[in-house]
Amino acid sequence: MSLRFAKLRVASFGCVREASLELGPGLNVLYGPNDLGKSTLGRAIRAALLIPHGSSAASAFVPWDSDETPVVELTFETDPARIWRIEKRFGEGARGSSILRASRDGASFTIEEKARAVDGKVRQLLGWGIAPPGGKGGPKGLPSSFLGAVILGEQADVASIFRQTLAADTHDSGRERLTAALEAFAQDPTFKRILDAAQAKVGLAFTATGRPRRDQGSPFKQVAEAVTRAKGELERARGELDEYQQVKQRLEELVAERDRAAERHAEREERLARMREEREAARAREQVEALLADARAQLARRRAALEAVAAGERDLGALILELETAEAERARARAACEVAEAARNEAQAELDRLRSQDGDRERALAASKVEARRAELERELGELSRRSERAERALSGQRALAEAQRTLLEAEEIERGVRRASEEARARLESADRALSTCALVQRLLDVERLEAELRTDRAALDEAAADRALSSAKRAEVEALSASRVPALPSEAALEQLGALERSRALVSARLGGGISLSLVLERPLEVSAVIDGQARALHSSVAPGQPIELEAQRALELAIAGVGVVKVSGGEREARREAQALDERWRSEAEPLFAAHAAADLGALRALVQADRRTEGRIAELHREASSLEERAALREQGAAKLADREHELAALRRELEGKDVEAARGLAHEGQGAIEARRRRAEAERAAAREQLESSREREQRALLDARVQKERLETAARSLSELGGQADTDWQAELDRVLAQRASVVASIEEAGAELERSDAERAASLARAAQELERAAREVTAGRLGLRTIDERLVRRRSDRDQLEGRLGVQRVAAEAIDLAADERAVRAQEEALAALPAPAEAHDDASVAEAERALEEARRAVADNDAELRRAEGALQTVGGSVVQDREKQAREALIVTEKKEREVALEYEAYQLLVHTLRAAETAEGQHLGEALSRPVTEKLGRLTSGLYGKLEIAPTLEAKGVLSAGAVRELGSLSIGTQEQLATLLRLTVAEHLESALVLDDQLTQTDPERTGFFRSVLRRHAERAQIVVLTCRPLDYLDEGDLAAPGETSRDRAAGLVRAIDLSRVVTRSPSRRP
Amino acid sequence: MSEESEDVALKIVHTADWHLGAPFVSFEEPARTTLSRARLDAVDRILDVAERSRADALLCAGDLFDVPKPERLWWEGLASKLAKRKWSGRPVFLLPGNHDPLVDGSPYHPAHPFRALLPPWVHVVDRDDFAFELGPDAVLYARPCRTQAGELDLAMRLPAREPGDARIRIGMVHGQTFHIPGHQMNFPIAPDAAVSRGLDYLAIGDTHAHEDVGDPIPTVYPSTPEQLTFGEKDTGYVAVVLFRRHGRPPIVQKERVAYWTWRTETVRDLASLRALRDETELKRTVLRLNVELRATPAEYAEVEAILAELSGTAASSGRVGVMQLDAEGLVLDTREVEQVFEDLPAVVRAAVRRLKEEEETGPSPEVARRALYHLYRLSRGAT
Repeated sequence: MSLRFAKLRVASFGCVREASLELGPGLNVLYGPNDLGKSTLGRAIRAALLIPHGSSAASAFVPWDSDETPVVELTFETDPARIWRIEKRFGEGARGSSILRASRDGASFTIEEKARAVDGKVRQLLGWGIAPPGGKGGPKGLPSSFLGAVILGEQADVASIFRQTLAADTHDSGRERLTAALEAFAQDPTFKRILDAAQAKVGLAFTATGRPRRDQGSPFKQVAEAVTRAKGELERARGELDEYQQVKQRLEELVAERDRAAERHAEREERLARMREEREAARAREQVEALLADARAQLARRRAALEAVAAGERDLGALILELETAEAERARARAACEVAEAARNEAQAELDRLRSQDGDRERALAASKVEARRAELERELGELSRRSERAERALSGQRALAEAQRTLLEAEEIERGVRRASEEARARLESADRALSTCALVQRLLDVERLEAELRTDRAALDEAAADRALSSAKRAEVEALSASRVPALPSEAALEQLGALERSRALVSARLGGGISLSLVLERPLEVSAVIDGQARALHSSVAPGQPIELEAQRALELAIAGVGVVKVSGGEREARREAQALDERWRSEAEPLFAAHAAADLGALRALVQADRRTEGRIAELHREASSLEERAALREQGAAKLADREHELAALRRELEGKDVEAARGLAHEGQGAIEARRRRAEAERAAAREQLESSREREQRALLDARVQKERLETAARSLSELGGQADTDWQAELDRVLAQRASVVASIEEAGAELERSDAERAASLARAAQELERAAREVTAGRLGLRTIDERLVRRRSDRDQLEGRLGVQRVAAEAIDLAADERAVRAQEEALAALPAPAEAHDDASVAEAERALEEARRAVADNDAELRRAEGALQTVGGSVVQDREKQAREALIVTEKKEREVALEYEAYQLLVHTLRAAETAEGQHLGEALSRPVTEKLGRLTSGLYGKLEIAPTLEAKGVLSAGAVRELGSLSIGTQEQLATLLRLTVAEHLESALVLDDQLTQTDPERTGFFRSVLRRHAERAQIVVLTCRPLDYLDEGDLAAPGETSRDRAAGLVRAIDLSRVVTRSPSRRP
Repeated sequence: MSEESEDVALKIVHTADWHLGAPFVSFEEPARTTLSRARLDAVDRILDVAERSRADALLCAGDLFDVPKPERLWWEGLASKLAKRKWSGRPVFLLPGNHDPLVDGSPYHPAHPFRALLPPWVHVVDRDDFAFELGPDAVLYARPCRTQAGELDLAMRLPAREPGDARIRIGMVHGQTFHIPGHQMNFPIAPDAAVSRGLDYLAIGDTHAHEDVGDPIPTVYPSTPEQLTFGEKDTGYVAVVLFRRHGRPPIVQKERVAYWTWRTETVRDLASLRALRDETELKRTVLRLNVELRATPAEYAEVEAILAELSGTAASSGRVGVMQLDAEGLVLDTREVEQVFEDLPAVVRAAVRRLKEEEETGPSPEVARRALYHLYRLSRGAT
């Protein structure tokens, strides 16, 4: 696929406001002065082809002077009748857009792609090894690739092409295009066929980045889906199988459980039967045992009856004896009763006596005596009470007096203490005042020192300000001198630029006039001849000999003055060019030469030098102005700082007056401690003074309270002394002893009174006791009489009962005696033995079972029966569950699914192996190609080397190019030289040859942006012919400010033309100054 | 009429385990479809046997469908094949097995459209007390599976012979006999069931191999008419049973009806593979072929060619009817591999050396070997 640019339109793109041009199929030389925007056009082509409109890299295209959206339209042709037009507006969001249109005839276009798809399509069309934009890992910003760098290389670093590598391409299309273009010598056909076939297989299974494809057509996808399906089937089948096996296991467990439950049921049933048998045996034994017991009881009863008769006989004898004893006892009780009745009568007589009137009189007399004595004692007791009360009051007064005296002493002691504290506080206060005075004095001294230092500083500042002002004056004088030396009316920079443009235009026009003039003059006779060649006078021989030819050559104009004959003027170039040259010369003479004359400048360079010198002087003046202003500002600041000088002097004098007559020397020692120490000392003194004042105030308050207390205590003392004297005692009377004596007497009287009362009570008590004793005696005697009568009655009753018992016993005994005679004791003993033998015949059961234990066994049996029934029900449920699961059906299904999965997984492994092997094969082939085989580097090296040899006349040999196309070095004088060691000119020539060769093989357009700036004229001529030959096969776009390096003068566009085609359209010169409108200045 | 034929009171054909609709999931297409179709094709051959042998009845003892509710095409296909027969006096009995139990939605269910498609002489065992008089001297008792699994011994639920009953009594159930360990949950059949029920023949189905497990009364698995998986033995038959007069025991003959022969082969040398290729009777073979041999690149290519010849390609039928290939044991012999590439450009030979090195020292020798083989094939013009 070839590539040829047809049209380029740029708007608001960097420094270019507007440009529009059409390119020819061959060599296009786009020329114009520096800074016109040539390289910007190259960038615009790159942007149109490679940069997405919303890319951050597009921010560099923002116009310098406006907020317009950068726009590029590029029309290009890939194959005959395949014409494309990219229209891009660079900007984010709605500001940006991309459209790719296609056409067959270059006239009518249809939209092919829009938006992001444009870049993908363009990159596909170009095949420069650039991956489509977007996506993970996709290139961001300006994408780079080997072919992109070759075809659209920038001006900045010509030699960077040597470092470009195919390995950095993000897509294989570049390598593939190059491989195809250089195929004839790049790869062995067999190798290529194998590689292509393997690559095709890899392409089926892997992405360009080597990741396995997962799209619908991928072989991995198909087998992976099959494996997933098989796994799903197996999982389902296993789920069903697990369910079946669980049910089956449950059923087996239930069957085992059913067997166990049945076994338990049988065991319990057997045990219950055994228990019932044993219980029946036990019952039979119990019946025999009952009969035996009855027989034994009968025997016992007979024996008891015989024994009862014998016992009755014994009881009857005892009863008769007891009757005899009771008769004797009754006689004794009758006698005792009579004695008791006599004693009772005697006691009644004594009691009657004590209760008679004589007894009462005796008692009243004794009581009156005791009452009289007690009344006397109570009077005495009243006197003693009054005495004791007086003594107690006196004693209390004495104690109050002593207390008052003690309190008074304490109050006086407190008062003295308070006075001492007050004195101490006053002393502390005076000391603190002295310390404060010292601090104030020291502060004054420090203030004096500070003021003295400030005064010294102020005076120094004033001195420095004076120096600054002097220096400022000197600089201002220099400014005046320099201003006077400046050249007046020099042209501005813009005017100079215009003159420069005029000069370049004249040069260009002059170049167009050039073509070479050759003149041969042969005189027939000697004549004076002078010549002006291309405007330069040239001296000839003053007199030219006849017949001798004079050869004159000029580029543009030749003027020959022949004395006496005339002047011959010969001009080169076309008429239009000459008219343009004359117009420019006229402008030159009217605009430039007056300036040169005015400033005595030989040419524009000299004028520029004058202007530059004047700019420098102007700069120096501005600098001096700034320096003088700075000095004056500094002097003003210093003077402002010293403005308080007089105030400080007054303050210092006042301080010194204050210090007169003070002990300054002592304070000066403290002043050396510094301001901080003095402040601390002052604060301590103030704190001490405050504390002393507080102490003093406190002492005064306490002193007042102590005085008040002492006065109160004195008043109490006086009151107590007065009370004591009123009681009539002496001050030293021992009132305590008096009180003790009175209290002792009072206690004695009280005891006497109580004794008298007690005596009367004793008398009453003795009489009452006698009465009680008599009553008791009477009562006792009466009880004995009653008891005696009762005992007698009891004995009588007993005698009656015994006599009755005797009669009954005698009757019963008579009956028993008759029954006993009828008893056959031996027969009863035989009956017992018979039952004992019957019992022995019945075996005793191994275990005794009562009804409860049998009932318990019956319950256990019922429980076992229920367990069996429950288990049967559970078993039936499990069997029901078994019927809902798959049985051997799911086993079959699981087996089939398992086999299917194994087969599918094998297939998956096989597919993976197959395509991984193809991938490895491709990698290995490429590696082998790189290391071993003919590779792209070799293929490319050959034609480049051939061109380089012609360029350098064999100075350089083979160019070493790596398989990935990095240029490594060049053979020279039998050794490989690094390219960096070559001259800059040679490097740029080699880079251009390399790029030309690649473009030639690709039949692609090539953009050369001032690539040969360091190339000498001889090699420039070589390239001129190379480019013209190249242009016959592929398009070249040269951006240059030196068109004559590539074209002849006559190839350039004529004035008024934007372009000119030569060589049947294979060479097109485009004057960019006519097609590019430049933005005025760069945006700050 | 021969003496023997005169002696025969009743002739039946007994079949089972058709598994119509079995999916053959371990096979790829088109083998999967081929084998599925073969299930229904076998029915024709079974019916042919019944016709050819002039059987008095055809007993189909369960698992006729692979799943309880098969797709329409299977039951419709079966009904169609039966309906094509113009039989009278030769009843056919279809018994639900554990794969196709008698459940709601089953083709055997009276309400299922399958039933309406069946000719009147086709009888479905859809009752637990199914009995059918096969003439005055013979009777068939059968009992269907109603679930896919169960502990019930269906044979023991058949009615016992009444005193004085001298008829030929045939039982038909689906299940497994006790001598198959681990399967007691799948409708077990007591080995003496035929004796205890007073049967003369017990027709059973489930196990895919032909076997008579009864003694002295024949209790017969006729086998699946077409093998279902690799590893099954003695398959592909129906049982033709001749009931003789005078109380003599019946004669059971097995008759082959299978189209496919299933076979597993492992070849360990090229000669065996060549011999296999040269066999003539492979068209009706389902072959599982394990290739376990080491081959030089040339041999490897021949192996692949033979395998392609056996299995077929997209453009040509293979010599084997259905082939399942396991070639994981096929290993490229790379010991002399460099000689194979001597005639190729240096860069290709360099690639061979690199791949050889990769095989010897790299992490995936198998991938390297396969890559070498790819290179060999591509260098020989393959694509």
